[in-house]
Amino acid sequence: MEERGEYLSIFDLNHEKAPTLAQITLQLTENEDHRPNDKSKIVDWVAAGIKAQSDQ
Amino acid sequence: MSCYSSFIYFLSSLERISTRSRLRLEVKNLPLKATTNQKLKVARMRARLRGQVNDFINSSSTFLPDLEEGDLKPMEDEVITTPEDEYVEPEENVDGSLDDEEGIEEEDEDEAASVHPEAITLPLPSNITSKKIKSSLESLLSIERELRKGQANDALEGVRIGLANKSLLLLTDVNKSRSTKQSTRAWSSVRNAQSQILLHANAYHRAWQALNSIENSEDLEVYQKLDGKHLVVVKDITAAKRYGQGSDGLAWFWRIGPNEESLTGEWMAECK
Repeated sequence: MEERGEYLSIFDLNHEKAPTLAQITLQLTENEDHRPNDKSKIVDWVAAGIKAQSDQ
Repeated sequence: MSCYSSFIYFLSSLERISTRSRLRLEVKNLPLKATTNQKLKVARMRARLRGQVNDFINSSSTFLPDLEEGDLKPMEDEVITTPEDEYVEPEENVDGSLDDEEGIEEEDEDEAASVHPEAITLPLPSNITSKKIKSSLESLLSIERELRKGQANDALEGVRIGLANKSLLLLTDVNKSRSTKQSTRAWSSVRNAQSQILLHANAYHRAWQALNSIENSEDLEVYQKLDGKHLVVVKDITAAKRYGQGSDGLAWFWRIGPNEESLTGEWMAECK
């Protein structure tokens, strides 16, 4: 156990996980001028549809 | 609290946040003689869902051209379940209390007479069958594709957590229970894990169906069809040191992620 520290990082197998729905939604809606544009409206609408479908 | 039990607690809290029961499932599980509370719960879920569905359909006219009846294809509700030898009756939600949510209105009589909101096919871009309309919706489809990938990732994460949880519970709680009381409790948590697995597996199946109809071959290579036979417990946990372990592999969904290459590189190098 003398070799600790960075050697333990080999256990961090999955430190980079596949992006979640929330991350992707955020990423798609973020834009430079921080104002709602057409794209973010579409993203919101599709996300609402997916959510409604999951609740059905 | 031991390390193990805090881990289990963490897992179950994680799952509780990420899941919400579906209305169709709730209706299917209603007993023949449902209690008032059960009926009320379904009515409330229905009212909430109707609001969601109506909002979605109303704003769809902004983004979509006029659709005719045959243009939409409902998703096939295929039920995925674990292989028979590992089947556990999933836990049914027993609700003592109803979660009160504000802003739920009583259903109008007219509305109640129409189609139930859970049976409505939503005009999502991936549900549109007409090739002509689809070709004009490329930007919509590309957005839905990204979101569906996120949905698939979430669901697969849930499936993995559920399966790992079930395996651990079988190895520890179930194996080590010494009395009927302990064993009943242990199996009830296994059933809970089972219902999480099925819920997430079916959520994945919906995401996959959408990705399949968007038809991007790259995605379909990564996100494969989830088969019931893959929903098995992790044998490296439940049956370590078994015969043939060396040649056994895990199902595809344990190995996806952005770091597929990093797994094989540095990680395999020996420690100095």
